[in-house]
Amino acid sequence: MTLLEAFAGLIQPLPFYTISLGVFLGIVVGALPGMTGGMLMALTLPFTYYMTSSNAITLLIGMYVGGISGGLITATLMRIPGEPASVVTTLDGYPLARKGQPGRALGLGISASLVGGGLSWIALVLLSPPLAEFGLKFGPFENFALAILALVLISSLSRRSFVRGLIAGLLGMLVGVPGLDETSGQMRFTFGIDSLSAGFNLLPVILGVFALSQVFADLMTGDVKVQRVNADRKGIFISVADYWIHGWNMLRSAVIGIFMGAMPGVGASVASIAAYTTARNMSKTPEKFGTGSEEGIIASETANNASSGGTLIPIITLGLPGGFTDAVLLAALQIHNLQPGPHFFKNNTTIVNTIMAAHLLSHALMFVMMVLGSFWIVRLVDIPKRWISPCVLVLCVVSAFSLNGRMFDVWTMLAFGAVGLVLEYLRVPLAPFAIGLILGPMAEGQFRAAMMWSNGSLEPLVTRPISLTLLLFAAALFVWPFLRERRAATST
Amino acid sequence: MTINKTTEETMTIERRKVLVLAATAAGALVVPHAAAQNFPSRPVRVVVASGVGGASDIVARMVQRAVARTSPHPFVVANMPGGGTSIGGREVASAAPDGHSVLMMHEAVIVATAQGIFKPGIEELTPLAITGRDIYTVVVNGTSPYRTLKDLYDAARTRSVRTAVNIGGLNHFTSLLAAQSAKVEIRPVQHGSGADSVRSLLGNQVEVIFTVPSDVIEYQKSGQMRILGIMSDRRSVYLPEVPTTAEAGFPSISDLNHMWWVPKATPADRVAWLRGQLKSAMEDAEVRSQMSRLTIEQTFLTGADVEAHVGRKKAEIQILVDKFGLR
Repeated sequence: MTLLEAFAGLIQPLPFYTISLGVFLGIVVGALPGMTGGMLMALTLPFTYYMTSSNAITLLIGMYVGGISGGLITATLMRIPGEPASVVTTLDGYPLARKGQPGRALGLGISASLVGGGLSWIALVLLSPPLAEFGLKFGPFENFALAILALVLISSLSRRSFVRGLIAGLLGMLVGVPGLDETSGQMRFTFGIDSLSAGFNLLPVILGVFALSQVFADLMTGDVKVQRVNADRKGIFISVADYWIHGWNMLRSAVIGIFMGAMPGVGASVASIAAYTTARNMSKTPEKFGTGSEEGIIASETANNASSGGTLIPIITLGLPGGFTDAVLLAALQIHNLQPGPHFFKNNTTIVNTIMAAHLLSHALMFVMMVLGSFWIVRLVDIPKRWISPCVLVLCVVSAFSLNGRMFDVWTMLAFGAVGLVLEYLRVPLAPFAIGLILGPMAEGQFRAAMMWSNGSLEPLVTRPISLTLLLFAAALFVWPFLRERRAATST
Repeated sequence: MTINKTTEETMTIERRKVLVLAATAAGALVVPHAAAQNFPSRPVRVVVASGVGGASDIVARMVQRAVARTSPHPFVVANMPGGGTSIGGREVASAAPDGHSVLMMHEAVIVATAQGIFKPGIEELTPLAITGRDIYTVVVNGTSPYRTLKDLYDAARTRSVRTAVNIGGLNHFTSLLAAQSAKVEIRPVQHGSGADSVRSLLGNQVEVIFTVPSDVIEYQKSGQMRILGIMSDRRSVYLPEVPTTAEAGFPSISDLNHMWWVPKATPADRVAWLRGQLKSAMEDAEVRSQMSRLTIEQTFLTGADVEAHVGRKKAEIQILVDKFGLR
C-alpha cells in the first residue's frame, strides 16, 4: 500500500473516527495539568487488543500528537504546563496572555505546532534511514555533549540574576539525585526511605513547582482579570506575514526538534528547551524573552511537535524505542504480532505508511480542533480563579497518584508546591529549576557511562567528531549573545 | 393528598426507614464475608516491575488476554518500573495478601534482593509459576572480527572489550558470569534498557552485548549482528546453529524466567487458583504462537519446582554478589 493509499484508507469512516477521537482525547489530556499523552496511551493499550493493528496504531499516534500539542493551552493560559514538554512555553506564552493577548499566544503556539509537525513529517518520509544511521553514532559522549548544549539555557535564561538562575538549576539537579544511581547500582540519598528508591518522579515535582505554587499564589492574590484585547478571530489565525517573519525560527526549531526526537532518551522536553535556548541566544531582541516574546513561543512549540516525527524514525527504521511513548507504540505493534526491527520498514510497508499518514493527518486534525476550540478555550482566562483552582488541584492530585498508584507521589507534589512558593518568593526562577531537574540526571548518567566507556579518559569528548561539534555549538551559543552586545555597544 | 401526615403514618414510615437501614447494615456486614468466599471478587492487579513494551510486559499482556477468555474477573496490568524492580516489588510485597495483587518479574527481583536494593525482598513473596524461559546470548556486531566465543575472549585478554549493561541488573550479572567462565574481564558501560544496549551494539559503541534472542534475532537475519553463543545447557530451537557456551569451551548458563509472585501470606487456595489460571494461559493456542514468535521457550513450572528454581538462583546470585562485592 502506498502512502497515498494509506491516506485514503484513513479517510474511511471508522479509521477517521478513530484518529479524530485519538487527537481530541490527546489534546484534552495534554492540556489537563498532570495527565500526559503518554499516560493516556498506556491506559489505552489494553483496548487496542481488540482493534485492527492499523486502527490501534492510528489511535495511539493521534493521542501522541494531540498530547504534545495540547500542553500549550494550559501553559499559555494558566502558566501550568500540561506536559513537561510545555514547561518552556510557559515562559513566554503566559506573559503574552497576561498582557491581554491570549488569543494570539494560543494562535502562535498552534501554528508553530502544525509547522513543526509538518516539517518533521517530511523528514520522516524522506530522511528516515539516514537520520536513523546518524542516531546510531551517538554514544555516551555525544549524549553528554547534547545535554551540555541544552544546559546552556540555564545561564542564558537568567540574565537579570545569573546567580539566582544558577542556584535554581543546581537545586533542580539536586532534586534529581536521590534514588537508585544507575551507574553504580547503589541507592543514593534515600535516607532509608523506601519510597525514594526510584527518586522523585519528574511529573509530581513539575506539577508541584509550577501548578500548585501557581494555585497557592492565586489563592493568596485573589482574582485578577485579564483584559482581553485580542481574543477575536484575528488573534488566533496568525497571518501569512507572521509565518514569513517567524519562518526562520520555525525551520531552525523544527530541525532541532527532529534531531532531538530521533536521538534516544532525549525527547520533546529537551527539544523544546534546546530550541528555546537557540532562539533566545540568536534573537535580535533577547531581552524580550520571558516577557511574552513571540519567538520564544514559536521555538518551543515547533520543536516539541517536530520531535514527534523525529521519534518515529528509529521505530520504523530500526525498531528501537527512543522513549516512553515509543515503548507504548512498540508494545501495541508487538501485541498485534508485528515484529519491529530492521526489516520492519521493508516488510511492513502498509503499517509504516499508515504510521506516516496518521502522523500528518493527526497534525491537520489537531490544528483544526485547536483553532476552533480556541475561541472558547480562551474564555478559560475569564473564569474566576476560585472555580479553576480547585479543579486544577484535584486533577494534579489524581495525576500524581495515577502515575504509580502510590500516595508518595502526591506528597512529593504537595511538598514541591511549597518549594515552588518559596522559590517564587525569593525570586528564584522556576524554569532553570525544571531544566536542571530534567537534564541533570541525563548529563550525569551519560558522563559516567562515558567514563566507563573510555576507562576514565576525557579525550573522546573532543576527539570524537560529533561530540566536539556539539560542544562547539554549545560554546558558540553561550558566547554569541555577549559578542552581539559588544558589537552593538561599539557600533553606537 | 394529606400534607400533614398523621403521627401514626409518620411512625410507620420512620420504622420502615429504620428497618431498611438495619437490613443494609446487616447486609454490609455480611457482604465482605461473602466476598471472602468469592475469589476473585474484583480484577486481579498484575504489577509488572518494568516498563511498557519490555519483554516482561509483553508476556504479562499475553497472559492477560488469555485469562480474560477464561476468568470472569480479568487481570489488569500496571507497570511500575523503577528502583531496579524495587518499586513494583515493594508494592506487591506490602499489598494485602488476598490474591488480588500479583507481581510479574523475572530473576531481576532476586538480583535486586541480593544487592539490598529491593527491601523486604523475595522473602516476603511466594513464587506462583514460571511462564516462559528466555536464554541469554552473546552477541557482537556483524562487522566485528569475532566469529566465535573464543575469538572474543582471546581479544578480551589483550585489549578492552566493552559491553552495554544495566549495572546491577540481570544482564550485568550475565556479563560477569560469562567473563568468569573465560577468566577475562569485560568492561561494563551503563545503559539503561535492553533497547539502549541493542542500539549501542548496532552503532558499534561497544564490542559485545548479552541479551535474549528476541532482541537481536531480526538483526542477525539481516547480518547486522552475530550471535556467538547461547548461555544454556542445550541449543535453542529458535537458533539451532548457535553453539552453547559449553560447546565452545566456556560453560556458563544464564536464563531469564518470567515469574509470577504473590505476597507470602496469600491463602493456599487463592495461590492454587492463580496457578491454575497461569497454567491454562500457557495452554492457550494464541499465547503459544506468540511466544514462539518471540522466541521464548514455552516452559511452565509451578509448585515445588518453581520454589526449587528460586532457591537455586538465589544461591548462584549470592555467590556472584559476594565475589564482586556488589552489595
